[in-house]
Amino acid sequence: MPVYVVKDKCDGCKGKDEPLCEQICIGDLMTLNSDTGKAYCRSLRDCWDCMSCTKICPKGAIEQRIPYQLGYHGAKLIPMMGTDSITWTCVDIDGKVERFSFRTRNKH
Amino acid sequence: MKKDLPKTITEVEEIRIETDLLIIGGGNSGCFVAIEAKEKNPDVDVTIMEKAHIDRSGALAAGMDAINTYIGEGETPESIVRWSRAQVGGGPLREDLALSNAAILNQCVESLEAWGVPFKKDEKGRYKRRGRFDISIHGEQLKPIIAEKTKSYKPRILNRVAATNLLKDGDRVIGATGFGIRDGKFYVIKAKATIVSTGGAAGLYRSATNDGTTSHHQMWMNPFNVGTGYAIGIRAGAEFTLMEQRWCATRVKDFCGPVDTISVGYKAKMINAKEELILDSPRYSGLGGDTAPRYIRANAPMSEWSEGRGPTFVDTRHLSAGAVKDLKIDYLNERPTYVLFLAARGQDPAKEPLEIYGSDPYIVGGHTASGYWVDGDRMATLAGLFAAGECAGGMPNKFVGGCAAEGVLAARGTLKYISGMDHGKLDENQLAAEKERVFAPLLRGATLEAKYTLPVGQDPRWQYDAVTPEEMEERLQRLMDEYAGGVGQFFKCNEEQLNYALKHIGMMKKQVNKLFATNLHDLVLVHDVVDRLDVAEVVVLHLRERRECRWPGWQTRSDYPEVDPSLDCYINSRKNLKTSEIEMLKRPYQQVLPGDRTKAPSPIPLSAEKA
Amino acid sequence: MSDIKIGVFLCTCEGEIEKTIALDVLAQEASGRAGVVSVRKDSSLCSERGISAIREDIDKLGLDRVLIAACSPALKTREFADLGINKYMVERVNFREQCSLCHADNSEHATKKARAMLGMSLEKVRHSKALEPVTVPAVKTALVVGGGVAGINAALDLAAAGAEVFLIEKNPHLGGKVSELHRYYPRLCPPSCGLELMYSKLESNPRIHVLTSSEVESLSGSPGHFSVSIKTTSPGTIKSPEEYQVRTIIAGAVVVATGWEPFDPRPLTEYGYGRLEKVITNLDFEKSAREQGQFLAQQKKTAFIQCVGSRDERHLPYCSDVCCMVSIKQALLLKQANPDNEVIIYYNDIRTPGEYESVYRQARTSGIQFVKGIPSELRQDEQGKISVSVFDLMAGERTEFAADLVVLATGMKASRGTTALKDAIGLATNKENFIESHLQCHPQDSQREGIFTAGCCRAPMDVSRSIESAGAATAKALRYLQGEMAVSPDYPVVDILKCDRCKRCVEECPFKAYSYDDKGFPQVDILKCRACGICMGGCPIGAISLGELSIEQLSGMLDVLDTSYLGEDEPVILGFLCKNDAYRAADDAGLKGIPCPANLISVMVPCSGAVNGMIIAEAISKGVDGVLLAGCADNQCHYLHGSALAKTRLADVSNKLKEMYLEPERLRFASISRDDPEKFAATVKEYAEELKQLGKNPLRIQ
Repeated sequence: MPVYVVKDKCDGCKGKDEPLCEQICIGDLMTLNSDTGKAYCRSLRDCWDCMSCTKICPKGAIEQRIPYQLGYHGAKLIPMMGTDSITWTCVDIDGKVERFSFRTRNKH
Repeated sequence: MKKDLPKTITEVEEIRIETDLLIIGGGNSGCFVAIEAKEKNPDVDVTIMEKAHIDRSGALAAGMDAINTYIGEGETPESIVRWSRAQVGGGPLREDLALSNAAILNQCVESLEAWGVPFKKDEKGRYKRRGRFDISIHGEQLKPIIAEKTKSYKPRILNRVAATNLLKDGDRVIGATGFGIRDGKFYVIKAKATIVSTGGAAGLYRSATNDGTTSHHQMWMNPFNVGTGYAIGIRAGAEFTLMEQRWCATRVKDFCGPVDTISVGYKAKMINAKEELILDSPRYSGLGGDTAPRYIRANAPMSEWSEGRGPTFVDTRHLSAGAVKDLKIDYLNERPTYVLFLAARGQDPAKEPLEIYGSDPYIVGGHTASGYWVDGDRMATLAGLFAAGECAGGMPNKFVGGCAAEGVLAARGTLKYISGMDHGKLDENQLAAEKERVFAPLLRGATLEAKYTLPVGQDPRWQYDAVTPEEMEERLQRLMDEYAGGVGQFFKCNEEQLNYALKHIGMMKKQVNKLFATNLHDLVLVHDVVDRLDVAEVVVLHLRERRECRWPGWQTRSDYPEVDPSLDCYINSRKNLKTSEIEMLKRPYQQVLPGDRTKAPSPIPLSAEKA
Repeated sequence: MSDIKIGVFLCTCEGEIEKTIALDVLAQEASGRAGVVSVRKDSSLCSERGISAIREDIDKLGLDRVLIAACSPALKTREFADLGINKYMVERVNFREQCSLCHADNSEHATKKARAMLGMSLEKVRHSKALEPVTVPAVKTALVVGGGVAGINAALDLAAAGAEVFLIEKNPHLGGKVSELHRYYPRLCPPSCGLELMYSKLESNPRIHVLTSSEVESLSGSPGHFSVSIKTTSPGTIKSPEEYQVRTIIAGAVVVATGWEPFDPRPLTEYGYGRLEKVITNLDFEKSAREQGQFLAQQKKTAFIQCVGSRDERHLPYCSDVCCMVSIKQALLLKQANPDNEVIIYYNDIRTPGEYESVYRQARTSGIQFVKGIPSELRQDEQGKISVSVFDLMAGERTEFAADLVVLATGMKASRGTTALKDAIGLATNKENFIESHLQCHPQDSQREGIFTAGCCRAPMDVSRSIESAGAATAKALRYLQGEMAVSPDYPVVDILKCDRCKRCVEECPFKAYSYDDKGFPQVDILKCRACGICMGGCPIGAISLGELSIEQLSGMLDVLDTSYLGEDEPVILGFLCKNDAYRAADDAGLKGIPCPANLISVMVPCSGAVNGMIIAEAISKGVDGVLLAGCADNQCHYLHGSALAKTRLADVSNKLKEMYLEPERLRFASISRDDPEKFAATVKEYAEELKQLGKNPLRIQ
């Protein structure tokens, strides 16, 4: 299930060697297009949708989209990372919004 | 840094490292190996070779919502081993390995909590049980937390380096080679002991939903775990066990995600199209119904489908709104896009049951017992080689907690082994040959001439008269699905199909020299398919050898539908390095815990536990 | 955590605070909290008696951290500085200025807010660490670049203060532009007098090493320990070629005194400089006066044209400061040489501040004419004189003057030496190439820690001011020349285990205080660092924390913040207020009795740029109704681009909120300067109203 990079939001991580999404991708799929200075997924069909790139992008430029083979167009799943918690927003194809917030790290 | 690709082998730079312990695969168990090794001996030099980035690599990439092996109040190491044994229909399984694992299991799981992973607790402050040995966690940060702990011991971490083969000095394994996925260099790591912890093998078979344009990797297991750990051992002549015991699980249909979350965690029962409770039917009640061995329960939906009573579901319609929310939070911690999947269908679990189906088969020694044949120190049959986690065979039902414990045990085994050991001697010829083998596809890609015309916008690789790794992978996956008992065939296979599969795997292996790569990412794909071919071949040989139906679903022989008592043993394999043939052998099963192997002791209810 | 011992001290401020906040109730609640060992209420904690009581409690009860709920942490700092406990283990809670005073009209709300403040501060102090200053070795050697009057004086002052000094000068001789002058004002001294004295002092001081024909090639290292590469050129002769010698010196501080260059008025073709022989510049005048004994006496009729090239957007948009006095000086010299010499100064404005006013008066009474008007061009007439035709704005009529000599009062521009040095070592300069400083507060600083300016390299100035500024630069530089420096542990620490080397911190640091270690991880030069926290604010992983304020503390404070502390219907705003401006404005609102709703609870940050996007997101996730980032206006930020970055980060989180179907209005940036408490109070009031209309944060209900 693939990820898509929103070109108006991506800044290529300030044009550094490896943008954050490229650093973290478990399948070596995210990479920087040196011509446009923006990131892209080299093989949409190979993404396993672990969402590590989506979570780490400081500009929130990466979107998760489910293949049409599996589900209809327009649903969204958006993670918002906190230092010890995560808030997910899910919007279904009818526009219904659900939010989930939970702790992901315990403090000492 | 993207650099110019080499055109000749001499342009390929080498990095040579000498270390005490080389850990191939920085996933859950690999990290635990490093942590335990450094805890016990801070001076030991540890190197981790990781194909992706240790912060998120492996099956835990998106997180985990449960630890499926924890010995709670009222249970003992013995009870969990008995339960595990019963789950695989009495085995065979290595009870010695299972008992040593169970002895340290809890402390490994508890260390995760100590490092900051939130564990759900009940009103008495005990770990909240969702199943007999299952506890719930919010593990979205599980892998980053484990990675941070690993990094705090400052091992040498080689991110983006893919292992290619083991190095040998006679029969001893003295390290491994790999190539840099970003830097394009050839890595030669000499180690006193080498631990293989690359996880399981996914993508040997075609996944049910992989025919879509963007859903090729729609599978339960991390598709980037291709079984390299097994392949390098196979090629080096190590012995493998029970490779026929594939993990064919029930999964939510199409999405191919975990289902235990729902069925175990929320007590949602399996129903068929007629809304009959599948496991309550006479056919299954005799086998134990809900407590039937795992392969029975896993295979149930597919049996229903093949007999015309599909589709099949887990019935979630009794769940309250709060329970549905908790269910989704569990998924958000393990496979978050399942929540997106439901949203993309406008589906509310409280209104419609969730569809389930079988998955493609995987070779995962942490779930079933397939993998390296190891001793109590987790050493394989080659000196200096150890296996941890899903790579280690003989012990099923390890899951996250058990694999962590395996890492600890393997670390102890290696420390024992390396005391007084030297590094062994490198065979430079062997090394040069390996370097050629690794980079041949890339050099081929650099020197191929464009032969064909190409419409604008098409992948430029179609200009070349050669074979892309994706094509060969698709061929292998379809071959295995149709002829080696894939989900498309309801997991069934027979002697003729298996021989057909072997023949065509052989033909593909001969054509590996037609594979080419025009960049380093493609080189990874080439080696992925090369490794998968070796693993698939062994799987098929094992499937052929086990001429019975001991674990239908995991291993279904339509031509030998009954259990054959003479095969109540391990079926193992080992490559003969002189003839290059894989030789099959049997090893006897040794029962350690007395009593009926097919029965698990009854679960002991927790004091004041809610039903 | 069980071994921490917190002492809570509540000040009534002679009853003032207690009028509004129910301190007894809070004291009771605090005593039950984990880790709190003692709670003490006092009428005046800052009094000698009060301080003693605190010290005694710390001693007797073995307290390892204290909470002081009293006035603003900006006040009574001296009194609370020495409590017998590490200062990082003391947390001040602003019960007075930001609670009892500004919410005096609503005691119920004030107490509720105080409760929330106490809770947050307790959590913050739980994570405090007893940091100690770091001692960094430094060399007692200073480098002065430029051997003009400013540089020479800096060298002498530095040596007098005990430092070893290297004074380098790119020319083969010292003295700079002053050595080219005939006389300098106000006393019309010959520069040779002053300069000779200075040269002999330089020579006789064994601590000063003068290197002429030398330039700086490169500079690395940090304040206290700069490594400077200096190239000395031995001039070539017919027999031997030019030779270079490169040496490296280690200097604790650098004073840049690279001087100025005269503006060349050739582009102003209307004045004919270079074409008309009798049109010269003020510097030419000095040279002629110095070299030709009869020059001054012979100028029968001289016209001075002021502001040539200066105050002109086409050339030098600024006022060059000295030209009025220079022309007056030169005019006086002409009169002194021969009282019959006719002198007219054509001007726009005469700028002779301070005591120079009397020199101006002297010039007027000595017969020098001042005409307010500037000629549009100069022409040579048939007699060979320069015809100066000007509309006199004061007299209201045109005047004509046939001058023997016209002196163009040309201004000062930045020297090539300044530009070369800037390129070699990377100094910030303004648009006119003068070295940039924080003009009002730290005129002698460059924007690099440890590097200071003296003289005209920073801005046009006269000899007195140049010498004065050399003294100022010396005073600032001395901090780095003590042989050892104590660095306050406020600097950031990067958690290498989390860091993924994205390089943002290195890029965004306004003071270029970060460099890379051999593994590519960022490391901060604690001597260059000004603890603004911009790096902490920008790290996408939250891997950077300041000594005084960590991500862990912020996260913990968010955990304990009761997002309904005022009741279910009142929104809660978390305000990150910048220490220098917004926080002080908030205090001021209290001191001035400007009523302010209690919906905002503040966290003091060094700069609005220090607030991390993840913390903002977390605040919203945990149910805060609105987040306010209050900092300086963009062009006034003490840390250069902190506010601008804060706005960007806020915008990123806003975008995310929009996608999540949450209201982006829940995030706001406000520019609040220190002297605008009214604006602060108005902002809080307006924002609280808006949030009330918006409704509760949907995540608050989770």
